[in-house]
Amino acid sequence: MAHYLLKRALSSLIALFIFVSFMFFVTEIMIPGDFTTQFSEQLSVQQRAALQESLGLNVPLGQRYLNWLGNLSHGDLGMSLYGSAVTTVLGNVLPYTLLVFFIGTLIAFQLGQWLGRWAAWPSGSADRWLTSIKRTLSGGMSLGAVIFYTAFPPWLCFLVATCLSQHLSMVREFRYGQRGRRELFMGKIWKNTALTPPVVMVKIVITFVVVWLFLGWVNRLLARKFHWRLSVGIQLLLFVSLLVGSWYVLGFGPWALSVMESASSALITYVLLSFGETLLIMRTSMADTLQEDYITTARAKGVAEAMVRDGHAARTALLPVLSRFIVSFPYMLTGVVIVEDVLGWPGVSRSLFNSLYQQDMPVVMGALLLVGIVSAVARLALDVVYAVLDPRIRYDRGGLRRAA
Amino acid sequence: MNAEAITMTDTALVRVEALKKHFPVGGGLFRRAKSHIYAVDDVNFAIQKGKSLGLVGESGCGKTTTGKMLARLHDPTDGHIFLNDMELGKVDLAEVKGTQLKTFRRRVQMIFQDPYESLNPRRTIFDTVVEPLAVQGIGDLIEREERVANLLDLVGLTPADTFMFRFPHELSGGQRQRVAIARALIINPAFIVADEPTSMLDVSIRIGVMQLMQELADRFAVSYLYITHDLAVARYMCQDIAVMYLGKLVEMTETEELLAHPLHPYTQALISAVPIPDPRVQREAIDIKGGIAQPIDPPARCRFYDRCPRADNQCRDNDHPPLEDKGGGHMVACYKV
Ligand SMILES: Nc1ncnc2c1ncn2[C@@H]1O[C@H](COP(=O)(O)OP(=O)(O)OP(=O)(O)O)[C@@H](O)[C@H]1O
Ligand code: SF4
Ligand SMILES: [Mg+2]
Repeated sequence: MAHYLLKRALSSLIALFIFVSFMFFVTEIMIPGDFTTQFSEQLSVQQRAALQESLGLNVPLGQRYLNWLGNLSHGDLGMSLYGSAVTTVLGNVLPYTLLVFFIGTLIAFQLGQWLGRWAAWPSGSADRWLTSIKRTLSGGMSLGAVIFYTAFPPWLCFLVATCLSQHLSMVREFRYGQRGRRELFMGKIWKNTALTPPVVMVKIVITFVVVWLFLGWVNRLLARKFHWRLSVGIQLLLFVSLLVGSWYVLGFGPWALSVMESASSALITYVLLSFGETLLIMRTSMADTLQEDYITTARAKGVAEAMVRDGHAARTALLPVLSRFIVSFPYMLTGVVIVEDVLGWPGVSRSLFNSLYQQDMPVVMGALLLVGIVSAVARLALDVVYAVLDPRIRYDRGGLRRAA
Repeated sequence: MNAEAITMTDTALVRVEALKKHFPVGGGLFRRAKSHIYAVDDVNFAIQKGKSLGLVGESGCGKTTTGKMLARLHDPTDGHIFLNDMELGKVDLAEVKGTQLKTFRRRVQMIFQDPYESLNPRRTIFDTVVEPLAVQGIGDLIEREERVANLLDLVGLTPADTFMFRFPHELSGGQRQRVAIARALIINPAFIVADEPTSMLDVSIRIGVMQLMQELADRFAVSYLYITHDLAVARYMCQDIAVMYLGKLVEMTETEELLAHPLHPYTQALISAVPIPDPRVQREAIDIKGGIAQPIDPPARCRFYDRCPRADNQCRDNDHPPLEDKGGGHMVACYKV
C-alpha cells in the first residue's frame, strides 16, 4: 500500500509538472500581448517598454520558464505583476475556494448518499398504497436530482441567490455578487478583531472535517460494541450542534456564522449542482446490492433492518459512487469555478480569471499549480478510501488489482 | 386433520400446514398483478427433533422459497408454520414478533447455496461469524473471539487464527462454505435450513462438507431441512425425503423406502436418472417429456400431467391429487397409485 501510494504520488507529480509546463507555454503563446497591454491607452510606447523591462517581460520565454521553475523549486511562486507575492495573493483566496469546494463536496456526497440509500430501500410496509407513495416519492426525487445535475449552472446560481436574498431575505446576496469582494465581510463584527475571513474559513474547514471524522468514528464504535447506529436525523442534529458548538468553544463563533451566512448561496448552489450524481449512482448501486445473498444472510442472522441497510448494503453500494467521484472530479472543479464566478465569490478561480484578463502570468501559473495540487491530492485520498472500503482491492507492485 | 397428525404435532420440531407462497407477476406501480407464480402451493410436512428432512426437486420447483419461509425471510401468502422448540415454546411463525423474533433468529438459521455470494466480501471471516453473537448480545468481545476461534477449528478451518482476519475472496469455495456453516452454528440453533450447501462446490470436496454437517448435527442436536436436487446427497444426509414438483409435494417418506419403492411417476423418473453403482443391475429408464415450466396460474389438474407417462383423463379433469398415505407412512400425491 505504501509502495503503491508512493508510486501514485510520484506519477501525479510528473503529471502535474507536465500540465503546468504545458499551460505555461500555452497561455504565454496563445494570448496576444502581455500585462502592459491593458495600459496601452494611458502609456506611451517608451513608458510601456520601460515597464516591460522593469517587470522582466522582455526576457525570452524559455528563460522565463526556467526562472519560474528555479524559483518554484524552493517554494517561491514569484511576484504578482502588481507587486505582491503570488503566495500571498493565493493564500488570501484559497480559503474561499476550500470552504465551498471541500465542505460542499462533503455535504453533497453525504446528502446524495442518504437520499439514494433511502430511495432504493423498499418501503418494508405490506400496505400497497404506502409502497406506491414511497416509490413515487423516490422517483420524483431522482427526477429532481437529474434536473439539478443537468441544470445550466449559472441559471441555478441565480435561482438560488434570488431565493435566498429576496424570498428568504437571509443575505444580501447580490451585494457582493455584483460589487465583488470589498462588500463582503463589512459587518460590525469584523471591525476591531484580529480574525480575518480567510483565517476563519480555514478554521471552519478544519473543524468541519474533525467533527465529521469524529461522528464517523462514534458510529463505527456503536456498531461494533452495541450493534447499533445513530439514525440520520440524530446524526444531523449532533453534527450541527457539535460543529457550531466547537466554533463557540474555540472562540470564533459569531465570525464563523457570518462567514457561513455569506457563503451560503455559493455552498447551496454547489451542493445542488453536485449531489444528484451521487444520489443517482447510490440508488442504482444500492438496489443492486440489496439483491445480494449476503444481505439475505444478514437478515437471517437477525441483523436489524437499519443495520442491514447502513452496515451491510450501503458500504458496498458506496464503491461505484467513489469510483465515479474519481472520474467526475474535474467537473466538480468546473462547478466551483462557475459558482465562484457567477456569485462573485472571491476564490481561486475568480482570481485565476481576473489574472488571466490582466495577463498577470505569475498569479495565473500559481493558481493553476494550486488547482493541480488540489486535484492530485484529492484523487490520492479517494484511492485510499477506496482501498479501505474494498478489501478485494490490493495495492501491490504499483498496480491496482482486483482479486477474483 | 386426522388423529395421527395431531399426536405428531406434539413432538414435531417444525410443522408446516397448507403453506403457500404466490409471487405476483406483471404488477405495476398502482396496478394489481394479474397473475401469480404459485412457487409453493399447499405444502404440508413435519420435521421431528434431531431428524432431517431432504427436500428434493428440479430447479425452480420452490425449494428455496419453502426454505426461506421457514427461516422467515419470506412471509407466506397463506398457511402456517409451527415451531416447537424448548426455548421458543410452541409458536406459530406468523405471530412471532419482537424479542421472540430475536430468539427465533437464534434458534433457526439458514445456509445458502452459493458461498461466493452469501458472505459479505467486505467483512473479515471473524466479523461475519461473530455478528450473530453481537446481534444477540452474547458475551463480551473476548468471549466472542474465543467462541469464533473454537468453532472455526471445529468446522475444519485450522488454525483458526490464520483464517479469522482474512476476507472471503482469500478462501476457497469449500472453505467459504465452512465459514457459512460456522456462521449458522455460532448461536446454537435447533433448526437449520440448508439450501443446497454443497451444490456449488467441487465434487471432490462435497463429501467433506457433508460429513462435517452430519457431525455437527449430531454434536449440537440440530435438525436440517436439507434442500438439494441430488437424491444421493439427500440419502446421505436425511432420514426422510420429500419430493417437490412445481410448488407441490408429490411424495414423502423415509429415505430408504423412497429409494427402494418410489411410487410417484415423477420420483420414479428422478431415480431412474441416477446412475446405479452396480453395473449388473439393469434399470429401465423412465422418460418424462418436456422441460420444466413455471407454475404461473396453473390450471386445476395434476401439475405433473403434461409430462406424466401415466396420465389419463382423471388426472386432467380433477384438481391436483392430495398427498395421501399409501400405507406405512408413504405419502404420495397421485391418482394412479
Ligand atoms: N422473489 C421472487 N419473486 C418472484 N418470483 C420468484 C421469487 N423467488 C422465486 N420466484 C419464483 O418462484 C419459483 C420457485 O423458485 P425457487 O427459488 O424456490 O426454486 P428452487 O426450487 O430453489 O430452484 P433452484 O434449484 O434453481 O434453486 C420460480 O419459478 C421462481 O422464478
Ligand atoms: S395424478 Fe396422473 S398425471 Fe399426476 S402424477 Fe399421477 S398419474 Fe401422473
Ligand atoms: Mg434454490
